[in-house]
Amino acid sequence: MSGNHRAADDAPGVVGIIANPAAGKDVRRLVALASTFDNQEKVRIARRALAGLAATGVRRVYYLPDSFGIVTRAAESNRFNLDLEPIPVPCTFTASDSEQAARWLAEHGAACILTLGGDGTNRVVARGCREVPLVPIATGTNNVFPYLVDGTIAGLAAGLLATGQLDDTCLEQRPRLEVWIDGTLVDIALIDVAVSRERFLGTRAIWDPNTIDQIIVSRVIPGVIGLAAVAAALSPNPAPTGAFVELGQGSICVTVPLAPGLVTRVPIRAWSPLELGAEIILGQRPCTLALDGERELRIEHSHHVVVRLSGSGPLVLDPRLALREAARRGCFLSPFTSAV
Amino acid sequence: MVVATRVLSYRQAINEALRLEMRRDPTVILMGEDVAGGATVQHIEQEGAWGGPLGVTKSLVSEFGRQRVLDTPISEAAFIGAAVGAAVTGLRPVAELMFVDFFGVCMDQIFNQGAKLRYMFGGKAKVPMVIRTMIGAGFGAAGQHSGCHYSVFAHMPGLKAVAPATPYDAKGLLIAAIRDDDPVMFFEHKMLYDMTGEVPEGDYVIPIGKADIKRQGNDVTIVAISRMVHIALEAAKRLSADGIEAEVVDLRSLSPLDEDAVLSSLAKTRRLVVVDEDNPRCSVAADIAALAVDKGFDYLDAPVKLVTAPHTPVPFSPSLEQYYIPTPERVIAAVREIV
Amino acid sequence: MEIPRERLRWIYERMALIRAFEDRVAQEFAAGKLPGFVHLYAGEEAIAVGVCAHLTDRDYITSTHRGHGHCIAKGVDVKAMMAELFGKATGVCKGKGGSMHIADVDKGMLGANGIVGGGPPIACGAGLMAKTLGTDQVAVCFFGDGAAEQGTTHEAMNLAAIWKLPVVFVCENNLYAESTPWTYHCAAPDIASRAAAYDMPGILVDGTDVFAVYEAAGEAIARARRGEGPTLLECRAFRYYGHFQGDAVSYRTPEEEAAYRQRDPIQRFRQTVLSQGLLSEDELDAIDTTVQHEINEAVRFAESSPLPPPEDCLTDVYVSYPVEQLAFRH
Repeated sequence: MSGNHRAADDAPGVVGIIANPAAGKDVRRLVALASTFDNQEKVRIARRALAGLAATGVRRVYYLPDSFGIVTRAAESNRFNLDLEPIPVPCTFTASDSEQAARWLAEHGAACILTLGGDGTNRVVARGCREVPLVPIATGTNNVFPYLVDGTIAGLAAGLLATGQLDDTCLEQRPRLEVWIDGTLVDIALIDVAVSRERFLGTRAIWDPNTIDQIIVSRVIPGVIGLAAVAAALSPNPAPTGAFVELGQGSICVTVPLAPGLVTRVPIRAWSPLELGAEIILGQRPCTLALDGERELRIEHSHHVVVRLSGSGPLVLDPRLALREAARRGCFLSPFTSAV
Repeated sequence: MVVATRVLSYRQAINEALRLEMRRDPTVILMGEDVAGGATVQHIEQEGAWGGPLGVTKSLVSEFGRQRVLDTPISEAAFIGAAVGAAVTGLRPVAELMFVDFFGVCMDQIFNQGAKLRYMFGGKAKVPMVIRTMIGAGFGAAGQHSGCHYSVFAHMPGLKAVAPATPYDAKGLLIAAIRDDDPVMFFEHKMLYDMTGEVPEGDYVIPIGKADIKRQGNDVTIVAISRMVHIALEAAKRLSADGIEAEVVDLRSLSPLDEDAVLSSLAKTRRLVVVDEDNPRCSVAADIAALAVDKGFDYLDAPVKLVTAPHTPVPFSPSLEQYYIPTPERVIAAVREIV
Repeated sequence: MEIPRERLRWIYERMALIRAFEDRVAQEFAAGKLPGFVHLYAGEEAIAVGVCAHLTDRDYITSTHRGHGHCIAKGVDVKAMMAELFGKATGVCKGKGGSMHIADVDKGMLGANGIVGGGPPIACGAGLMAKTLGTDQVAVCFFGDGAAEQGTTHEAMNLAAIWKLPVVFVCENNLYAESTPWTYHCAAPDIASRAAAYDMPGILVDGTDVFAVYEAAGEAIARARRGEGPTLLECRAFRYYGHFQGDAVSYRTPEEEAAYRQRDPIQRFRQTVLSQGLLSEDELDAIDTTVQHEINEAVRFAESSPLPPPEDCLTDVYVSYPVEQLAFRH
């Protein structure tokens, strides 16, 4: 097993884990039929991810010390003989902790970051992670970005990458949507940006199509839940990279799952495909912007807002593809010994 | 007016009181473990299964439905507390605490919430609830299903407490308790459920706080509670054969207490024996004795005698349990000491 | 989520009134003018107000030992509240309850509660009343992270769920049960998820953002009114004062407390409505002035009110009871 060039730390193959204790608990349990993702289950997922990491030879793991202690609990009794260290960022127990943790990991040579969360969590991590690849495990409400995969598999994949058994060729760079206000890049989305007539961020989630004017989608992929499903339902074959959809009275509606268990008819006024580099200039009026399904930005009258579809989103490792590639390379093979 | 009476058991009398009050007042609801029984079991959804562990509330569900006869989970704190909340917001719940011994798991809701709300709220709240609960030894039910413990509740300001000894009193007192605007503890002695007696049809009220002279006599006053009334009557019968005429005062209400009834009987007989199945320390019996010395001292020609259970939990074995429960012989012995 | 202008004003006025009330109570307590002890709600205003904005006087709430905020959000008269804290005859409970039992049944406020976990079963009872009589009333049960560990809370959530009662359980998680961190006292410090055990939606809400609380509570209360059963909202917020006045708060660091203030619910409200042009600065400042006046009046009223006559100790125990049995024997 060789060290990875990303790991500037003393140990080879440093991996970060950012688990969001708040993921999977928003109002969509109430307004839709989402499950509450309990943190004990995240602990079990993290524990299996640690098992996967340890099996590949990873020794050092940095983790975000979240309010629940997901990784700390996962590592209790430290049966994996891993060197686990909390990421030394001040904890505010807000979403910005994940961003700060990702930034710290990027600055300290982490080979990759395992995330436990949904689209919202990964968006925040992506704001800070720069070129460090993500291995995202879905524990959120809408999970278009992360993979619904067992922690063991994600841990193995992350470990194979961190220890250099897999290389950058296994990574995929995802697109991102950049929100520019008055010429400044203020935030990003990984999946979709929605222009909502809601005046308040409120519980952040969006679920009522009647409050939405426009949707900008980074990737048109079928089988997803959330606003991106609108673009997927409209998509011709072959799918374009992204799409810009205007909601409202027109000639058609699409029936889509806007949240788990919430299948709604969404009226479409117009839509168009978007290619990388495309920019959408939003009308100047007070509104809120929902990023990856959560109201995040309040837009004021004077703001000049541009949303740009960019190819420079986070690098992602697909755990299943990674394991297939690792098998092709013989990573799991070893000489027969009777003392297994 | 002639009121028809029939012979009913104590159990039937309680059942009838509940039925009449539920018919009369749609805000009266019944709740407790197995008060109907078999909730959601399709073939008995309409008629219920147990009607309480000893069948006291049997068949009420078929008349009033599951909306008003509520089987609860075994969560005394939750449903006794819910009875408090329902009472303070406009219902008249009758909650069943299956055995009084279970008060430990819900006492906060009874005495810190139900009993004190009105006072703490400056009189703005009413808590018209009844907690029916089974008391008493004699069933071989041992330490956690046989106590009386009513003294604990009589001690608490904000609660009323009644303990009927006969079917007639059970019906009239339960109707009074349901109509009362204060929280009332209603103690049913499990050894009395099969006792029968004349009970009028229709509704009638026995005022809370009124004792009843169950037997007239001039030589000694025997104050007794619940099943002990019958022990006292048996003792009085035997004493009568020896020329001692005891007056038996059935307290019926433990809080408030009919002090006048006790004192006026004492003024007549000048001797007092109290018979109480509860443990003696800080008991209702001790309270009656205190009343006698405080307000009836000049009447007393002899010390007050208390015939109570010992200061032990209720034992299991029949020989032990029989030793525990006051007997006519012990009452007679106490009377003979002072007459 | 539309919030009419008048309601926005109400939300701000109530939050400002709670803050001003609590700050003033802290002063009066420090000056030795209040008997007993008090638990102050400052910092958690967004929860009480965001929830109670959806309730009428006919709806019920149960509260906690930290109940002044719930009272004010539910519309209890502030003068009568202040007088109660001063132990005066004009108090909302005639001086018989004090801070820890402050209540006004006419306003649907079923009492602050000196017993942690005392309220949840009572809230079920209020919900049971509404369900039995077929009204559209709801009951909201406020409880703290400390009460989340009481059996009564679990029993009540179970009861509300099996009976589909119109009850909304609002856990005000202020991170400390007295001085004990919730990360210590909760085996799994994730109160919202406990809802799953009782087959009800459980959601996590930023309890320092009144708009988040307002929106989530609106959905939960509407669900309860529709007869769809209970919901658990875990609202995270911070209490600015100690557990009780006099608590040296040695378990929190100054940095931690400073971080709380960064997310002050009242300041956050101001920023939002001002940036959106929904209310003006002048308007908000005028509300502040009115609120200060109201608190000054309340203190003046409380101070000038008489103490209850001592023998009032004997009244209000029962609706009916022989008076001579309530009094001393001698």
